[in-house]
Amino acid sequence: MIYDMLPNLGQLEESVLLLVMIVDEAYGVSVAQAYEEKTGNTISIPAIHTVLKRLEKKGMLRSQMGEATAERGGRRKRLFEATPYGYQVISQLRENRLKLWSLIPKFN
Amino acid sequence: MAAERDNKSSVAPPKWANRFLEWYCAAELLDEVQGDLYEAFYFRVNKYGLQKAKWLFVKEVLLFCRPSSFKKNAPSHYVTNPDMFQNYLKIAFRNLVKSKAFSAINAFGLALGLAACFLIMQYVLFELSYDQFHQDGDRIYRVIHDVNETKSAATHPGVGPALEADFPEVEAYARAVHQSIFMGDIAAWSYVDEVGNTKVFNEEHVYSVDPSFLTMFSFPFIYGDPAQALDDVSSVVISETVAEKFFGAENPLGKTLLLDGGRSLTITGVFKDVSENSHIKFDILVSYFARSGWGDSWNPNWDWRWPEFFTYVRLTPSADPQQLETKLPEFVSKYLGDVTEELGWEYRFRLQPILDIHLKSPNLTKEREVHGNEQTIYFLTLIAVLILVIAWINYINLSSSKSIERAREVGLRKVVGASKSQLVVQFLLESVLLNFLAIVLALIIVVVALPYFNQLTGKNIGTSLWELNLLHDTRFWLVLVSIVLLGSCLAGLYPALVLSSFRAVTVLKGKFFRSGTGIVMRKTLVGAQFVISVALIAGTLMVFKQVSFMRNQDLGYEQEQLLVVKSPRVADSTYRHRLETFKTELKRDPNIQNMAPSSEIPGKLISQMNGIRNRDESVEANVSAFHFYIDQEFIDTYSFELVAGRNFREEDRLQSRFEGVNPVPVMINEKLLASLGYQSAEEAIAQLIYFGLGPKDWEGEIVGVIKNHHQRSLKDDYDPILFFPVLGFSGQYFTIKLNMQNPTKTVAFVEDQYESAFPGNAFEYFFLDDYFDRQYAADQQFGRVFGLFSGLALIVACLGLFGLATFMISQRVKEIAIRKVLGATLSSMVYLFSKDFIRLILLANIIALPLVYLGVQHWLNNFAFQVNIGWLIFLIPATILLIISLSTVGFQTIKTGSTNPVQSLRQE
Repeated sequence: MIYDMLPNLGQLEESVLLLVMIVDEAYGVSVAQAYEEKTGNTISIPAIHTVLKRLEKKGMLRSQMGEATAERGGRRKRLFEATPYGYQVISQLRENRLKLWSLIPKFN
Repeated sequence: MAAERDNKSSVAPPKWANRFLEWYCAAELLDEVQGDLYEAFYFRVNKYGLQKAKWLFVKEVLLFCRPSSFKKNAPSHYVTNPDMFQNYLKIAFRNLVKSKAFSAINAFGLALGLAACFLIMQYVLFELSYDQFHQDGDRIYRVIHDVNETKSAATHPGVGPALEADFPEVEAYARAVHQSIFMGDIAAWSYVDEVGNTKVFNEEHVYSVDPSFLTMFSFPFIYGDPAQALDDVSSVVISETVAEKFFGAENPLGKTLLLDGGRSLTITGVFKDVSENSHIKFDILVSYFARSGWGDSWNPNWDWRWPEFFTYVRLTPSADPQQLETKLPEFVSKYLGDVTEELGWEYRFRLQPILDIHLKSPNLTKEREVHGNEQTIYFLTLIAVLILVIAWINYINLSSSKSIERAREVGLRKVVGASKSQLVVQFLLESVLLNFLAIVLALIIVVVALPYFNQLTGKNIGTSLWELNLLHDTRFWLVLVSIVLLGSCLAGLYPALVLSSFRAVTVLKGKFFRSGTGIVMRKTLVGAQFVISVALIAGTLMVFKQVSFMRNQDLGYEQEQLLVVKSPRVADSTYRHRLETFKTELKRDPNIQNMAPSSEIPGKLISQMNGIRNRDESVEANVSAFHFYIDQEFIDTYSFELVAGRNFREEDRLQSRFEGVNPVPVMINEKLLASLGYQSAEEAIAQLIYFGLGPKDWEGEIVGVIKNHHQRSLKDDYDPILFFPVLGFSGQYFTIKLNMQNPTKTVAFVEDQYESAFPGNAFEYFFLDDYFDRQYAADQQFGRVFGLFSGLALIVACLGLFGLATFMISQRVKEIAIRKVLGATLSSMVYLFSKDFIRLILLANIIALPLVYLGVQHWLNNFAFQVNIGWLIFLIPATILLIISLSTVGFQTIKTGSTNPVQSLRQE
């Protein structure tokens, strides 16, 4: 029932959504760094941007412009945070997975 | 922004990439995108170092360069607006589909032209690729030598070692000599396996080489080490194919092959089959010179008296071949001084870059492979360019005439705000699309046509698309890309400019004014097509005419029904007796008319040549003459014509050399007669002459004068020939004149007789007319290739004409209807509409024919005997073009003209 309502979420999208929830100040570079730290894989900034934009479009993230730093050549950051819908999707995803796992005979 | 960070100016992202980012990126995105990239950059400098950080920066700038980050609604970038592209593609596609026949003609014509162009390119690249695969190819030279006027590809065995010893510039030398010098053209190779089974194969391409041959050239090995493979005297290396014939997939290293059942040789290497684009082709290499390979059996005299060895030298990288060549005359006098003095010969050594051997070799004797001709390559390239030009002209013509139909679209686009540059981009895009389509089509045609083309050229230039060296050649891709770009731009620009210059208001009002310049332009282009077509048709005609002239010309003797058998190689004291028996036995067969042994046969360059003079003149008056030894029946066998004097008689026959015969009875041909300075043939009879042979001059008496005959092809002039009565020689030819009643049976009979008379010798035969004709193989091939591509060019031009005529008539449907209503007849309308084309064709002929005349003259200069150019080549191309254009225009006119005029007039 709930399973049907789940939006289609790719694996990278899921990881990025989780990372936005984990990282204090989530924007392109910080998410990319966290991704590399936590998963050990490298990822390009444009790829992260694409995923963030997509998640925002799906309504799981929202963003606002942050402050500028010298390191950024005076450019401002776009800061992302998860929307309640985003949290809802993630927790439903988790529940769904757990339900499926519990059905694996070898685990029980 | 970035510039403010002066303290870190050395550690900064690449400026150009940054500027590029700022150029394309929308302002509202710039904050996050550029900011993140900067931050990531400084972070990465610490983590990976400056270089990698910079590289990643550039990479990510490029990754960001996608439609979503572009500036929106920036008027200055209208032309490249991605939204419009979609529309252009859609419209282009709709237009292609709307007039299918027209698009098909357009694309197919272009594809045909491109395909022809690709095939020629593939062929030309193949010809140019000869010997390019050797690593030091640019430093390797073949030593060729000229003796008097004879230029030979092979030289004495002593030359290589002496060059290496005398000149520090010579890094290494290698000699190669074909097995025919030792044992005949074909030798039998056999292998006996452990169980005692024997496998025998005849191999033809066998060379004896120095061990250094394998290291000087870069023939890749599969088994064995090229550096040592031939060090041992009894070693042999074989090709992949030979290895497979004998041993299947097994590794044959260490196995033993028997040569002609005698010598046993150990296999020490297997090389990849020599590729087609090598000037020297071999299947088996034997080490003949390997250290003391000859031992005591080598006669030191042979070193400078045996010009049969291909000799290659590799120079040091800094050496200047020209400088080395200037030292060679001294080299000649050092080693060959005695010969030059004694025989009055003039020796000259030259260094020929191996890269030049295939295409730039002048006619050298002793060459074992047929080489190409640089001129043919130029000719074909020219044709390729012409075909491409024709195809493009077609495209321009068809597209620009078609453009009138799209005037309304252009008008509307302009009304809603399209700029001129935008329209140009639109039509250029359509052009690129069609060109691309044509290229795909062309590649398909190439792949389908390739096997036939290989057959035509007699060369395997690749059988599948991936095998084409075309596709592995960067030059090809460069040319392809420039063809697409240039073609699309050149061919697309004109229609694009015409279209975009329509005035919106006029066009929408429904008034089309045809610009005068447009018509002139189109006529000029069609005219240019006609010029090229005329030139190609006339050129093809002349090539065919010359070739058939050469093949049908009277050669000065009967060429038919002559069977040539190579005489036995093993000649002992019983040879003369056996020969007599053979002759008598043969003549018992009623199908055999004559049999004559001789040292040479027509169809080849005579190998022996020496000086000759009148007896009362001194050595300085020597003229050159070829030596031809014949039997007294030779003249009859070949139906040579005796101009004066008598034939040789039985008693003229020389026993062994000229010892004891004085004067030697000789015959001369008219050419030699003239160079000896006699006024008439009768005057020469019974005159005494001196001729050189070996180290001595001999006295001879002229007993007969023979009419000139074509010893070689008609490309070459008559040769001056001195005939001797036959000697007891070996290694030459028997010519047998047959009745062509049952040639197979007669040949079998000859073979039987040959084998019983000369047991242990291989029976090798051929028919003289085939043998003589083989000299024209290259010209016939050139004719066929030339003809094929001229035909293709003509087809492409026809397609264009057809399309143009169709279009022209469709524009004048109403006019035709009105004319008809007013009483015009069909024939008068056909005349009216084809009048322009006829005028153009005549003009094209006037322009093209003088050019053709000059070109043909130039080509004919390659031949000593030339066909008359004649008036037909001025008539045939014009007639062909007239017929084609009249029939296309006429057909369309009649088709439109026979419909009811009401039908055409009613529709608006």
